[in-house]
Amino acid sequence: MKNLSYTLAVIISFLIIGFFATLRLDYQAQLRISFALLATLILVYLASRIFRRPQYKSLFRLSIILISMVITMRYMVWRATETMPTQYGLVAMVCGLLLFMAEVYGFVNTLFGFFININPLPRKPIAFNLDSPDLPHVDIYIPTYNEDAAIIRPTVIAATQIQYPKDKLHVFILDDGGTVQKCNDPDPFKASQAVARATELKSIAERFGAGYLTREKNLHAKAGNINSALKHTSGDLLLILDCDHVPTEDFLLNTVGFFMADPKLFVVQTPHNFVSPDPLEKNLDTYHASPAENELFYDVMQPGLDFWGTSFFCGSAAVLRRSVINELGGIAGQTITEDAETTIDAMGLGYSTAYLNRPMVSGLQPETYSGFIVQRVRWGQGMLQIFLLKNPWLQPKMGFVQRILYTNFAFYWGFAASRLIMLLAPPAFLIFYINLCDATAIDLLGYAGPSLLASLVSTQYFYGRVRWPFISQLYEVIQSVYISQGLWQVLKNPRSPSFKVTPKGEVLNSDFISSLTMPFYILLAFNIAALIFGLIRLQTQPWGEGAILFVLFWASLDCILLLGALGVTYERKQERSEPRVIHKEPVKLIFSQGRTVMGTTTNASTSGIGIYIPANPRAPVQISKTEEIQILFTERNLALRGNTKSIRRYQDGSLQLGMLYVNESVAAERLAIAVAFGSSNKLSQNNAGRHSGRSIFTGFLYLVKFAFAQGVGHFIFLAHQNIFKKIKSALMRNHA
Amino acid sequence: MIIRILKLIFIVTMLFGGLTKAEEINHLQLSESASKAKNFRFSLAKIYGDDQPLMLENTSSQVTFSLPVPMLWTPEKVTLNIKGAVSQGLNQRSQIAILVNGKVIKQYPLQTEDHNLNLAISIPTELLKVGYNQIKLMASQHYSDVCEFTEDPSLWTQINLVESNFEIDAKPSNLIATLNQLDGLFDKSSWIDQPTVKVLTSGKPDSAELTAISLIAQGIGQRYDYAPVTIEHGIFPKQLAGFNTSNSQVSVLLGSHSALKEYLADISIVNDKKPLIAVKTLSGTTNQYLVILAGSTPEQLRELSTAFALKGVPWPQLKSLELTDVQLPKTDNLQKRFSIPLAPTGAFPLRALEFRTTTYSDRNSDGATVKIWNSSWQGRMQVRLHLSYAGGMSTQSALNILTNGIMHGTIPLNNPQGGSYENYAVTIPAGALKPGWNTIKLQPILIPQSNGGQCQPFFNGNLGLTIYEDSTLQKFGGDELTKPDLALYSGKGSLFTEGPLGKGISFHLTDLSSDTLSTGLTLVAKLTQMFERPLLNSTFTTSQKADTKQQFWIGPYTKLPANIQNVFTGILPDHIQIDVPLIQSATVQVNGSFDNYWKLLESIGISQTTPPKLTGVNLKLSGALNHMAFIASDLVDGNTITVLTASNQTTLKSGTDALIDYGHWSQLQGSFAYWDPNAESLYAVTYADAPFSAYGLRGGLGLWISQNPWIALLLTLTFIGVMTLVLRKVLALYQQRKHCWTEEA
Repeated sequence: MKNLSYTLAVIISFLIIGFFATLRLDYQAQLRISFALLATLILVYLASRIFRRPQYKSLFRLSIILISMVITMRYMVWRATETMPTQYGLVAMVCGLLLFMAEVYGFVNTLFGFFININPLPRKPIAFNLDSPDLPHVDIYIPTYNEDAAIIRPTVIAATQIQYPKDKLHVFILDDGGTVQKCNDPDPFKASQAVARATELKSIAERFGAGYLTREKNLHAKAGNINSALKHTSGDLLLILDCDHVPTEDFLLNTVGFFMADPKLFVVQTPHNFVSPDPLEKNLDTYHASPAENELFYDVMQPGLDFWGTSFFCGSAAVLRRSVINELGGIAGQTITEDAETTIDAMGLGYSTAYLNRPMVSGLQPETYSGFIVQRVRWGQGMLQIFLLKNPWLQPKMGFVQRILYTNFAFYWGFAASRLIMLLAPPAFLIFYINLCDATAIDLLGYAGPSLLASLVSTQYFYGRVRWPFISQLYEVIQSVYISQGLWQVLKNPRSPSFKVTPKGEVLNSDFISSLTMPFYILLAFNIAALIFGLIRLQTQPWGEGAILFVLFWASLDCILLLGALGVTYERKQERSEPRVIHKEPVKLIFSQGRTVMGTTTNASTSGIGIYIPANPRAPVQISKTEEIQILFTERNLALRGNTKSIRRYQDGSLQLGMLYVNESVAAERLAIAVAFGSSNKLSQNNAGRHSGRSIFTGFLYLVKFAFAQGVGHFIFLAHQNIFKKIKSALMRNHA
Repeated sequence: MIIRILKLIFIVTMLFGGLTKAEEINHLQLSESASKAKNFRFSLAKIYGDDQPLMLENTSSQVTFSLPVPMLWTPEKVTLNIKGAVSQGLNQRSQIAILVNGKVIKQYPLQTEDHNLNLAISIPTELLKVGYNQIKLMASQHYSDVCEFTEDPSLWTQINLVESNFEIDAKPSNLIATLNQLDGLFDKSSWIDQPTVKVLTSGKPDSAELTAISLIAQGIGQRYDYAPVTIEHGIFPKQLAGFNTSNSQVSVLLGSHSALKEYLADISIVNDKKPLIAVKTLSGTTNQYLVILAGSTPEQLRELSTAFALKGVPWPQLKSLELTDVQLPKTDNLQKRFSIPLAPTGAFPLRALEFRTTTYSDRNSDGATVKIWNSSWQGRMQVRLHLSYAGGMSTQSALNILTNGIMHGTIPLNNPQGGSYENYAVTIPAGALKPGWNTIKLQPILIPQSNGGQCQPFFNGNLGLTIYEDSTLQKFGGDELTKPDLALYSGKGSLFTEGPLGKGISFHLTDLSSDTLSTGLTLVAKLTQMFERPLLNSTFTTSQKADTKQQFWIGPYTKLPANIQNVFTGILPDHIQIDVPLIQSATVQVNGSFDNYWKLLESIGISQTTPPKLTGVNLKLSGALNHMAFIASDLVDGNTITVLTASNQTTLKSGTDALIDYGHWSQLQGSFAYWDPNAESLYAVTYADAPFSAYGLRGGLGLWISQNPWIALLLTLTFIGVMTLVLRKVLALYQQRKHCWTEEA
């Protein structure tokens, strides 16, 4: 009864807010109220950064949601009722409606964001007794298709040294690249490659105590691969790891407890933690300072979804209950996002999900823009497929909120079309004179201004830690064209898309321009033309100054974003495919003569380590590159041997060494993996180091910097390739 | 259409013997009676409709006045007295010319010793005609004989419109009135401020006579066009000798042949069973006229008064006429005027607002102003103009769109080759339109490409802008007014009458006293003027049964039926709070520790203590409403009920006489208004004072917040604060329920 009355109070309150949003006020009142609410919002935001006690958190969060809602809803109601360009002809009407729909999309997405983030659930691992006879058997599946064995090797090693009773831990490589079908490919070269790769994987499995499973034919992609493996294993729980997802040692210690506490639990998902930059981070050189792109989802959204019981299986770094998969008849394969699809099936049977926000894998991002697009198009298409083929509103036993949020998962990908419209709107108005919004400058100031600023403030509050301002827009821009295209395919034929593996571990030998760049040239050309037309119109049509200035600002922002996008498509050389993580641990370097030096690790990978040696004025350290050095990890009391590959001496006398391991034994290789990727604490610390965030203004400056440094770099490279080189070769020909 | 049908009926009637014993009379014959001369004096401010001083600027400037000359008076001496001031900078060549109907009658130098303008111009009466005469003052102003800047600021002459006046000595026209001069008898060009017309019956009118006199009132109102007219009801004496000729120059008598026997004595009547209309000069007078409507049956009285009510009927040049057949076209055949949609999203052409396709070719043209009714709170409007402009104008030429004096858009006329726009849209944003009557002004700014060059006469070039009447206005959004507004009556137009010619309108009198009747008739005449059409199908009655959509209740408050009294009990006050605005003219520093902070806050509109904006007096209305008159309007069961009331019949009559004058009537707005018949001001309770009942909850709340934004903000933030706490509690309960095992763990 108490619950009901509170819930009713909330519903009525939201209705009142909705009603308030529809009230028509005069300009003065609208300006005063909206800017006063905006000022309050900013004050609450600032207060949230000062008063960090947990009990205040929810108050700040809810206040920010409610104030932002009031401001934004007033804008949307005004936009819907007062500004539709219904009197300027059919073209204006259609274009205006498209722009409005793009804005409605943004508004609904914001509401979904508020709903999801209203009370994130911070789970902590549940302790359990490792000696319990009821401890479940765990099968670790490492599905692979065509990835290099060097990528799979650390994952297998790390999986086999996960802390769990050895008799209950079973690791398997599920090799879809070594199927009978692949090994007997009509192309003899492909067949021989498949055989060689399979042999190598079998050898890795054998060397590190894992199983190797393959099958006859490559049916149903990853889902088919896992389902095939299910016939050969019998563990109570399944830990599924992408082949590049190197797990930490405590993975199962942190996750299995949830299954023992809740018999209805189907899956515990953990973050996909990446230790290599995605193409945006790589090409704009933001990797070391800015948080990873996927952290917004895994660090903010998933805990929010978990509160509503809607976190879902993301294909890797998750533990699943085998009995539920059996009940479902295996991993679902109707769509190309088998993970989310399987979750919705399990929810349909009444099972629950959980999310533990602790990074426990170290994975690789796609290196190239094209690889990134392949991955994102697959996700977008898959989510839309789920909505079309397994509509959450038609699934039994799902809660109302779960249905809404599953709808949101498909709806989210509408950002692509929305962003594309936003990029085309300024040219439509400034070049083609299409009136998209029937509003005056003072209207825009009173309604659009506060709404835009409120959106920036609330975004900064919720996501500022894991996403720099305006970087989201850049991600949206680089995905907009191809995801729109991909979603259109699904809408035409929901079953058409096929599973495309994300390419990882690519080595880029030289700089080049991505082949997918053309749409951005066109969009940029339109927006630059819009700027020129806008400036001319500003001179010749002073009566429309307010609106023209507003759209000019918009076009300028679009140009900056598009230049940034061109910076992303300017692919930089990357010779090293092996990821390297920040690592801090005391070490003692023991030289061949018995001389020792204390140092601290700075970074680590499977094959090497960076070590910082502080200055010692009394006994300056002399190191020879040819000398083999023993690296003793004092806290572990274990040592590895290595050669010095690089030495950098700082002015104060301190040294930075780059060491290459000499891993001649299994134990050494295991230790190297454990040092680099074994600790989830270290991964958390590494991520936290990139969570300082940026202010809205600084974020904007960074965006401008990216646009003008990398975007312009794109054009210089292009000019160099197409003009200077041609001139040079022509000169050489003449000379010859 | 109506007029055409009636003309046809009339001609047919005359051709086939409907006319009996027609008398041929000379038009406008002078009576042999001695004339009684009278002096009239009225200011230019009254004629010009503005009491602000008038400036004649630049080298060439002019102003035109219309001097009315009524048919019932013959001017003997007309003097135009002009008072004003002239610029010290004017030289000897500067002069002012006075033109009467296009003919120059006098020229005066503008360079005077004391720089005052003090002219007494005798206007030749032979140049004046009955009706409106154009009096033009044309100033030619110079400061130099050579190389003059035509718009030099020293070139001006100021005319004081209040002190300047026409002084007229006139004598009655002594005309022998005939039926074709009916319009002249009720002359809008009258020199009398608010003429009175007597409508007389033989006794207390019965229902048929009530209907008839209301139609007569409509005829009188229409003939006076826009000029306020008071109609007084009375009873005519049986003997002509007892006829009182006091304050009315024209009287309309209605009755049976027998009752009017004495008055019809000098008129030849063939058949006294036939309805008769006659005009005559009251014997023994030279300037008193009688219009006599004699009918034996209710139907005949209605026919006669209907014919009288229709302006434009081609009455013959006869003293009297028996009407054998007057047929009104069926209501269904009447064409509605161009319909102006009151719906919030309707679009309609400018011609529906009486704008006609116009070409502007003057550099200083005022442009056009249309008046538009806005029945909603907020909501925007779009003006979509169809226009063409001439080649040869400067690129700075433009057409400005102003709403209530505020500019909201401008249309460039910047192609030197000229051009046209089919559908140029200018949006008048929400908030620019106030509820009630609004003006939209189309103001052309036409600038020639070249002014002729230095030291050359100013060359206007080819200035030209045509605005077409098919340009449209469209309204969008807004919270619709849910109550009737008295301002609808004060605006000119035909917005309020949905049914043709008054169908669905009823006037209910509380009693048949002369004052109440006079009040009702005066109101009918006024509404006929405002609606610009007769209300032939309306009901004028003492019945208390009412089922019409538009009901006017007229009578003392105590005599109103209980159900009407109940409706307005909450509106009619027993005391009046008269607010007097206080204007702060200076700020005196008061010592305090936070003065600077308060100054800062005050600069953004937050006051330390709200300064009093109004003070006022609270007047107890002793007795029953005392000497005030009231008009109130409300929507009751879907019907608009308007009550015109006062404490007694006399106050009501004098209040109504005051109300119909230009000043009071134009101030009508909102749901309720009251005024002292002897005072200038009228106090209206507008919907801004009662937002919630007028615009519904949504519109009303919007209006209230607009008036009290800071209070609303405080309430909003308080609401958000409370909601935050409730929401937090709900989320905690949800978490407890859904994730209890997690918590326990």
